[in-house]
Amino acid sequence: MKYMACGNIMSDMVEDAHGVRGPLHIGGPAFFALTALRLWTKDCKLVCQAGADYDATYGSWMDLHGLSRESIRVEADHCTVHVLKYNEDGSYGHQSIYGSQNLGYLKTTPEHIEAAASDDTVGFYLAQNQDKVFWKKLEEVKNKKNLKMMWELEVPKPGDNLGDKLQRIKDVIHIADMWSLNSNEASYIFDIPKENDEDIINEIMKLPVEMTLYRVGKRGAYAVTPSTAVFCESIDVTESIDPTGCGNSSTGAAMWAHLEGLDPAMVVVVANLTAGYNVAQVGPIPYISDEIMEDARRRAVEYYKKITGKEFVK
Amino acid sequence: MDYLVAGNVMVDIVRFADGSGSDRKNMGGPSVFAYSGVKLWTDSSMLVCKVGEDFYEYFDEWLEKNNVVREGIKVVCDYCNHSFLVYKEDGTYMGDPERFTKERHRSDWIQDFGYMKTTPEDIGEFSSKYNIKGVYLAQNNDYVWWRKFSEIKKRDGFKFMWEIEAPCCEPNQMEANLNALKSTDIFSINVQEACSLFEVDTEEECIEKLKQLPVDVTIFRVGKKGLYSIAGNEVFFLPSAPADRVVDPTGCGNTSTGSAMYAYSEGHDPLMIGIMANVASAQNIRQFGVIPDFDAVREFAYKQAKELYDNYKK
Repeated sequence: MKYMACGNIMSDMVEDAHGVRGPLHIGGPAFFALTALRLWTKDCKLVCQAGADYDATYGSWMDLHGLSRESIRVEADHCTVHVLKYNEDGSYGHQSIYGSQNLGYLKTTPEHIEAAASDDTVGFYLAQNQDKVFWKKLEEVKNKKNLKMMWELEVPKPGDNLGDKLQRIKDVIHIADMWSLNSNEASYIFDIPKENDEDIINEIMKLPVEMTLYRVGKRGAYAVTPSTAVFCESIDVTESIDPTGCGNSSTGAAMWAHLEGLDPAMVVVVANLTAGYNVAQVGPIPYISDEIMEDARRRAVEYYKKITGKEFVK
Repeated sequence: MDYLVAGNVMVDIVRFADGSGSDRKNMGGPSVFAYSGVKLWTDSSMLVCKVGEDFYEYFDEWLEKNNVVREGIKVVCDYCNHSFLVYKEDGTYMGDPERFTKERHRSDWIQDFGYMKTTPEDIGEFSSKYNIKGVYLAQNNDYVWWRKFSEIKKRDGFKFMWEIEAPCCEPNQMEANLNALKSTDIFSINVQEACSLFEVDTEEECIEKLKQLPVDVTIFRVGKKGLYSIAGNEVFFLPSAPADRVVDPTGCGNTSTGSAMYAYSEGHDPLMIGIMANVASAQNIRQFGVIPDFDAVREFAYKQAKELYDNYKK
């Protein structure tokens, strides 16, 4: 497969103040990235370690879209499930039903990515932390398989004791080719107010990646290269229902667009359009028909002209 | 190579209820302690574990001094799990909340714990390479894990010691535990775990339940009092073996369990299995961390085991 969405899949369900749980919604970084890739190309697959229950939850969506399961490894009884518990006052907390240990056990390894990549694989998406040992192994895989990588930042948590947070990123980012982060994460790692797009983008431009998708929430996103930054506001495809997974899906789509050789303006249009499709319902886009794929391409060309004033020419 | 001792490695700092303890980082975790319980008797044993890169920083000297085979030690991330244990008056322990939050490398350390967990394939890599007699692992009761493991065990024909993990000792876990016991030859559990699992209050009640389990031998650990070695209707109570000093009980359960695995796989009777478990535990309690020099105590251990065995036989 040309493109791979690698990493965790995880589901969530909402529990109300009376302990009543709602339906299970499938998701997780790699799965949302997969839905994004599938919106633009059928030449993609999921690479993850899953619970045996994935078939009952993710299986039908995979089958509906004709996606290969060849790189899904069943390694435990259960996929990760988070319960979002809402309190009477509207506040909420979340808890992993099967625990963080299960999540860690199911983490995608560099060795798994290597095994999943074939001769025609061009690039992969992965949300990942800054662990240097992991990245060293990943670099070897990338070089061996000649792959490009989109890194969606897993930002160090305030409770982590890992040294300088920006330096940790600088230590590994040269291994990635594309990068994605949101404004809260950028503000935290660069110590710049999140409303200050210009200064943050200036810092991003100094980093050694070809393209960064800098996501500024409801406002939209920037495609940033070492020499330019193109802004595109959020795109509403229909009604906005649930933003969960918009960051992952826009990141997966940006990887596809960049590796297809599209310019930064089209990269950010494709990213935002994908988020527009993702936000239209709870969970993934339910069915990506050929018509929807065609519709997405048509809209992308329209938005490209809107933000650049030029006709799109590939 | 005759024995594989698999599982998690920890870096421990221990403090007792009276405030005393050691600020030195000690080697710990189930696999390391169990390994020491095997290595006490034979050099033909190896650790099978995943560790952080800092493992060698702390423990290289110990590995070198004891000629520990390094083939099964895989560095998969930056940091080992660092554990700050505080003992309570009753001899049980918990994590030091102060140091846990401030001094751990990652706030979500349990996820790393999962990432470093031993897979069936990790064991199979070496059980297929060597003619292995016995394997130790502290493990949960995940069905998928045990299905894969049982295939490897059938293929390579070794004996297996399962040290049950505490979260599996809830009454509703019995069915999954019985599934795991199908692939277990010798089993290890402590009194708190057994009381919880069987919903009983006394050692005698636990023993009645343990006698019914479908394994050859069960090591039932009852804290500083010692242990019971249970084989069908044969039950031996074996008080703790005498030690010339008592410093730190951390890991005594793992150490005795590893030792019991060795004794069982060597064909010893249930009495000797329990004695050798206690003798190893008596060596472990003499210092913080693991036994520092196996050559220095091996002869004494063999002699002590023989004397105790002869005394019990009288």
